[in-house]
Amino acid sequence: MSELQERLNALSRRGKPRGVDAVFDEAARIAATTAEAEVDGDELDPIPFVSTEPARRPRRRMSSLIAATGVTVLLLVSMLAVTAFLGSGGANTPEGAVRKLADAISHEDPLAAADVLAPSEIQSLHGTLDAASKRAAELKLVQQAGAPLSGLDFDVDDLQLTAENLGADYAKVRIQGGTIRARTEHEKFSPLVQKSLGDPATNEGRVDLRQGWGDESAPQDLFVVAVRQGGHWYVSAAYTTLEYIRVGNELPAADFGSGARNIATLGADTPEAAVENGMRALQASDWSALIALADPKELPLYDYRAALLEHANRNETKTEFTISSMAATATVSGDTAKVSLTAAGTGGSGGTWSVDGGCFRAPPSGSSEGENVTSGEEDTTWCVGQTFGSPFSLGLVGSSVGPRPGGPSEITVVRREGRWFISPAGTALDVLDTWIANTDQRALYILLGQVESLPPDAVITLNTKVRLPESTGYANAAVYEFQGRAGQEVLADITPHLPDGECCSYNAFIVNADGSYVSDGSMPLYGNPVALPADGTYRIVVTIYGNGGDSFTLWDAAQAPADVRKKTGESCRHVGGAGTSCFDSASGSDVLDPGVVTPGAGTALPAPTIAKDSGETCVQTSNGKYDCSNSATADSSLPVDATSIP
Amino acid sequence: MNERTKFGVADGIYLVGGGALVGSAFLYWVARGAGSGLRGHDLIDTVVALGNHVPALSSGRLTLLWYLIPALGAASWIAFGVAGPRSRAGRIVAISAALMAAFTFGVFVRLVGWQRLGWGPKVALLGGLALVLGAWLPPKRVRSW
Repeated sequence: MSELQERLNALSRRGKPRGVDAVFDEAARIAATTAEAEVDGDELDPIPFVSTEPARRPRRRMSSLIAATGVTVLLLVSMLAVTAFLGSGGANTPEGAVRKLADAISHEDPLAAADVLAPSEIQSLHGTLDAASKRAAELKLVQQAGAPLSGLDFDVDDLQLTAENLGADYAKVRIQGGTIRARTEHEKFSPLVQKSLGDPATNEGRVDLRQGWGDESAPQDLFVVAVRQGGHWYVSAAYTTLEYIRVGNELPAADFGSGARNIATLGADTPEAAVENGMRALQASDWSALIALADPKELPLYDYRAALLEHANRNETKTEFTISSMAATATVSGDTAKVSLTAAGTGGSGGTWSVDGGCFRAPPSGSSEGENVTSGEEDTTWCVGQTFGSPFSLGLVGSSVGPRPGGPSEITVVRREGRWFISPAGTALDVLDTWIANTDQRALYILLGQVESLPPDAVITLNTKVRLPESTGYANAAVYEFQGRAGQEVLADITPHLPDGECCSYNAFIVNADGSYVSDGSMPLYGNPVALPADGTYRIVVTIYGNGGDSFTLWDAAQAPADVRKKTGESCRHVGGAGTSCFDSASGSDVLDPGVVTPGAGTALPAPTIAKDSGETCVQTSNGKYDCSNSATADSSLPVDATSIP
Repeated sequence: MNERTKFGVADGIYLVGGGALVGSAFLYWVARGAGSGLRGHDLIDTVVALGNHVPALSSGRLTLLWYLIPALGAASWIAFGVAGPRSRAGRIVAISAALMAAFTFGVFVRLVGWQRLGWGPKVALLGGLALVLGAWLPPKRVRSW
C-alpha cells in the first residue's frame, strides 16, 4: 500500500464520523467568526499537499559516453605522468630516434639532442650542456641560458629515412632525402657576439641531404647508426663515427655487440692496471691491447677491431717513445675510479717527456739525448683544462707553467661486470666541465678578440719598466692605464727575461677611454711610436702569446733610449676581431705578409707607418680597405716610400 | 537562435574547452631552445635546471601543475557527462581549470619568457576560458508551471 493511500486512510479515521451538511455548517461558522473571514474569496486556501518523489532527469546516452571518455583520458594522463617519471629518452624505432634528433636540431635545443643520444656514450653530457648554457649566460655570451643557440636558426625538413638492421640492437638509418637549412640572425646574438661578428648581414646556407657523401662519381647515402638500450632506440655518435671511418676506408665489417658479449674477458683487473696497461700498449703500438682497454659500452672500438687494426697496419701507425718510470694511483667510488698517472720516459728524438697528473711535458723538438733544455720556447708543458689554449686544441689544452687550480689531473676509469676500462667520454667531460667552470669574462674577451673591453690591471707611469704576467695558457693579456698628453708619442719596448731572447710574441694597442683604438690600432711596438690625440687617460693592452714573464716599458718616445727607437722591423695594425696585419717598414728585413691596411680615407698615412713599399700595388677592396701585395718579389725587402692612399 | 540551440552551442564550447586542456599536453610548451622538444616532467626539469625558477614552486610542484591541466580537462568531460556543464560540479571544474590554466600560463611566462612561449600554455588558457563560458552561458533554464 502506498504512502498516499495510508495518509488518506488516516484522514478518514480522524474524529467522529458526520454527514456532509454538518461539515459545511461547521466550516461556515468558523469562517464567520475568525480572521479567516477577511481572506479574499478568490484566493486559494492552502491545500494539504503530499509531495511526490522528484522526477529524475532522463539520462542521455551521449552524456554517458562523454563521461566515460573523460574517465579514460584521466587514466591516460595519470599513466603519462607515471611513465614520464619512470621512463627515459630515446624513441620506439631507429627512424624515430633520428627524427627526434632532427627535431631537436630544428628547435635549437641541445639538451633534447643529448637526450636522444645513446646514454652509455654521453654519460654526463646533459649536465655538461646545462652547465655550459648557464655559464654562457653568466658571461653574457648568450642572452638566455635556455636559448644558447639564439641567433642560429636550423631547419631539418622532409627527412626520408630507411632503416637497415645490423644486428639485434643495431640499425643503420639511411638518409635518402631531406634538407638542412642554417641561418644566422645577427640581432638575436648577444651584444658581445655581435661585436665579434662585426658584419650584421644575415647568412644562409642549405644542404641537400640527397647528395650523399664520398666519391662524387658514386656517392653513398648519408646515414646514422642507432642502438637499442633499455628497450628504446638512440642515436649513437660513436657507432656512427666509426662506421663512417670504416666505410670511407673500405675496411672490414664490424662485429656488432661483440664488445658487450666478451666484456668479461676485456679490460683490466684494477683501475691502476687499466691505465698502466694502456700506457704500455701505447708505447708498444699494441693497438689490439689498447682497444681491449676502452669501455666497449661507451666507445665500441672492440666491435670495430678488425677495421681499426687493418687501418693501423695499412698506415704503419706506430709510436716512438719509452717509459722509464710509471706509477698510477686510483680513488674508487662505486663503479667509477679516478686515476692519477705519473710517468716519464724518452721521446723518439731522445728528449725526455713526463706526465705529472694533468700536465704533460713534451720532449724538446730537435734536442739531443741528455740536453738540458732551459729555453722557454723549447720547454713546453701542456696541462688539461686550461682556460686558454692553442686554437688547435680549442683552448682545452694550453701551454702553462703549471696546472690551473681546480683542473682535472685524472683519468676516469669505469667498472663493467667486474673489469675496469678507460672511459674516454668520462675523462673528456671532466676536462670540459673544468674548462667551463674556469672560463671567466676576461678569458672570453681575449678569446673573442675584444681586448679593448678588458678593465685595467694596474696604473703605470711612462718610462717605468713593468713585468708582464706569466701566462697560464696559450694567450693572456695585461692592461695598463696611463696618462697622456695631446700629441705625445708613446713607444712600447719588450725586454725578454730569458737569456736566449724572446720567449713570446706580443700585440699591443692603445685604447681610448671609450674603448676605441688610438691611431686606428697601430701598435706602438718595434720602434713604431703612436701619437696620442688628446690629454687624458688611456689604456695599453698587451696580448701575450707564450709563457710571458718578460718586462715591458711604455716610453715617452722623446725620452726613449736610442736603441729602442732604432729597432726596425714590422709596422703593424689591428684590423678588427683578433686580426693584426704587419709588414716591413724598413729595408734589410724580410717582408711579412703584406696583409690588409686600413688607412683613413683621403689622408696621408703618418710617418713612419708606411702603407706600401714602392714595389707594391694596393687595391681597394669592397669593404673600403686596401690590399697591398708585391707583385714582383713578395718576400724581398724594398726601398721604402711614404705614400698616401687616395 | 532558439533556446535549444543556445544550450547546444554552450555544451559544445564546454566540450571543446575540455579538449583543449587535454590537447595542450601534446603541444610544445616551449617554442625554441632548451625544453622545446619536451613535455611534462622532462620539460620542467630542463627549464628549471637552467636556473629558472618560480618562488615557492619547486620542480616537483611545477610538474604537478603541468599534469593537472590535462587532468582537469578530462575531469570536465566527466562532469559534463554525469551532471551537465551548467551543474554545480561542471562549474566548479570549469573555474578550477581556468584558474590553473591562467596560473600555469603565468608561471611559464616567468620561466621561459614571452618570446619562447609555445602553443601549449596558450591553448590551455583558451581551454580554461572556454570551459567557463560553456558553464555559465546562456543562463540556466527556468521551469514554469
